[in-house]
Parts: sequence; structure tokens; C-alpha cells
Amino acid sequence: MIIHNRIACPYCDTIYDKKHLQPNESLVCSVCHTTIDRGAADFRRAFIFALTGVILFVIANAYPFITIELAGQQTTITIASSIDSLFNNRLDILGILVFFLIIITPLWYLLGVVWVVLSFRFNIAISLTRRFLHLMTHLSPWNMLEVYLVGVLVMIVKVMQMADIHFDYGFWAFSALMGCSILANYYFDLADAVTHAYTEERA
Amino acid sequence: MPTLKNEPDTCREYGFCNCLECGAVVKKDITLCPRCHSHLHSRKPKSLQKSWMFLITSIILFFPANLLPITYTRTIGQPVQVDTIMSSILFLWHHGSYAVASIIFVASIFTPFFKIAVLLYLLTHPAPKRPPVIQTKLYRFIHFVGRWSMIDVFVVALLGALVQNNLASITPGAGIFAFAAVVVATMFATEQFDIRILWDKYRDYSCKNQS
Repeated sequence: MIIHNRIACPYCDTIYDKKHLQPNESLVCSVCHTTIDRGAADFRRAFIFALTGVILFVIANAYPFITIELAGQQTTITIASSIDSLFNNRLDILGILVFFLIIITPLWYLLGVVWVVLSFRFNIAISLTRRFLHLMTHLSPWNMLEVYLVGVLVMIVKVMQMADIHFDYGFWAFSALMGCSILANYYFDLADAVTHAYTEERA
Repeated sequence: MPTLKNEPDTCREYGFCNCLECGAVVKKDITLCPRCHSHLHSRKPKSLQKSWMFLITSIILFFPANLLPITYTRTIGQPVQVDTIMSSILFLWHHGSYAVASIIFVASIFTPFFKIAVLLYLLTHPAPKRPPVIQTKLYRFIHFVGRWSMIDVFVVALLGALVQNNLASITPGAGIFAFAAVVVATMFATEQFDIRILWDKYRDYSCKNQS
């Protein structure tokens, strides 16, 4: 049923023989020049960064994010209250969307990496892990932590002319979180993890 | 493996099916992937129709997104300032924030427009006569770049929360809603499109010309 010794390019359907990649090798499709397999997965590092990310995520959301001083009045926001402003302005669907993009998906993704690596290490609940991995594949384009941080920077430039800005703990935690999330994503190669989840069983 | 042609063969020619969920190469006659139990299709089902649907949605929404106001700024002693995406970019440009103005221009105006243009091109030119390498690269690029258009939505949400007192206040407008919908619709359109159709058409074409 499954042809185990073959691998196909998802973009142009060209079929190749599967080879075990060395750590610095990658499989590039010779027809459409797409990298099919990076072979860069390092689950241990991914785990470290994802766990750090989860802790930073809690800090970033629990502490104040940014304070501005506008004509003697101070306003402090947290990440949650920036989403709340959309609800207050009758843009509920947009509020739900933003909540999904910057709270649910990133947290889900980081917890997913932690869970998957643990489950590989101790060989527990592999079938649940597979479910997790498929959901993560679908959710990965909707993880918008980096985009949010760029949004924050743009907003700061916009407000700078009329108000004083203080960065609070939440902001620094969030910046570090973004770094962790990018590194966790880099070391945790989804395609490799999926392959890993299914080859364990056969071995 | 009998390779008569110079190019390697495709999954489909062998009667195999590539599971996009788990990367397994499976014999075509089964409908559920034996490895990950997801539905198997040699090509994404009805990809052109679905992709057209989301693309047309995003083209329609593109107009309100750019014409409706995204923020209302109220300052004491001044009339309410109504901003669209373009006017907020021009405002930043005139105040000397060239870098930020360029970032927002690229993220909010150029990228959605470019994505729509690329998808239109891919959907209306499905039978290339040369290997569609550039098309594949464009497709992968718009796949990668799609998320970054959301910057403006986050900016408006943050502004609305931060600038909220009795001297000045910023209120998000309906334009930002339409804009977020454009971004989401183009992301879905990209997801639904199957670039392998172009490769199929090209391979058919080159086969016919060889014989």
C-alpha cells in the first residue's frame, strides 16, 4: 500500500528514491528547485526553545505590555486589552480573528512542539501525537507572532510623535518569545517530525 | 526504474498518490491514507473552482478595504480625522517616517495586490509551454508572504487600545475589517490552488510535441 522507498515533490509531483539525509544535506527537487526535505530537524533544541517560549508566553501575557503618556495621562495595555479594543468597537469577528492569530495558534504551536518531542522521547501516545502534527501542519501559516511584533513597532513609530512610550516587561518577554518561536520553528521541522512519527512504528 | 525521458517521472504516471499530510507515497486506488488516515487525492479536489471563489471574494473586498476608513482619530479642538490605508501611509511619509511608510505600503497595499495578480495569472494561464519553474517560485513566494499583510490589522488594534483618553482617541473603522478579510481570503485561495496542475499541463504538452 505505502511505497516506503519513494518520496514525491509536493509542488510538481516528481518522484524520487528516498535516501537517509546527513545533518547538513537537503533534498532539492531537480525539476522545480523546491527543497523537499531539509534534514535540519533537531528535536532537542526545538524542545528547549519551545519550553522557554511557553514560559515567556505566560510572562508576556500576564505583565503590562506598553505604557504611553499622552498629555499627562498614562495608558497601559496588555496584549489581551489590545484585542479587547476591537470588541469594544463592535468589530467582534476581527477581535476573534486576532485572538486566534496571536494567542491561540502560537500557544498551541509551542505546546505542540513540547508535547511531540516528549512523546517521541518516551514513546507515549504516538497516535495522539500524529493528530497533533496534522493540526499543526494546517495551523502553521496562521501563527503570526512575528507579524504582531512588527505591527507593534509600526504602531510605536506612529504614536511616537504625540506621546511618550515606555516598554514594560511584557514587551521584552514578547520579543524574546518571538526569537524562541522562530528558533523552535527552525529546529522543529514539521515534515521531518511527521516522517519520524510514522517511521517509529515500523522500526 | 525505466527512465527513457531525461526528466524523472511523476507520482501520477506510476499510479501513485502523494499524501500531502504525511508525505507518504501511496498506491492510487485507495481513498484514505493508510499511514495518517487523511483523504487521498492525486490533485487537490476542485482546486481551481475553490481558488477562484476565494480570489473573487478577495477582489471584491479589496475595494472597501482600500476605500473605507480604517481609523477615526479624535483630538480635542480638531475635527475628526478619517484615515484610509493609503492616507495613513501618506501621513507617515509626510512626517518623515519613510522606512515605516514603506513597510506598511509593501505589507498592506503591494502584497495583497501582488498576491491577487499572481493568483489571477496562475489561474488564467494554466497551460504553460515551458517548465513552470517561475510560476512555482511565485506560488511559493505568495504562500510565504501572505501572513505579513496582517501588520496593519494589528497596528490598528493596538492604536485603538492605546490612544484612549479624553484628549485623543483612535477608533478602528470598518475598512480594517474588510482588509483582514482580503488577507484571509487570499491566504485560503493560495492554500486551495494546486500548482501541480500546471506541471501536468506542461508535461502533456511536451509529450505531444515529442511524438
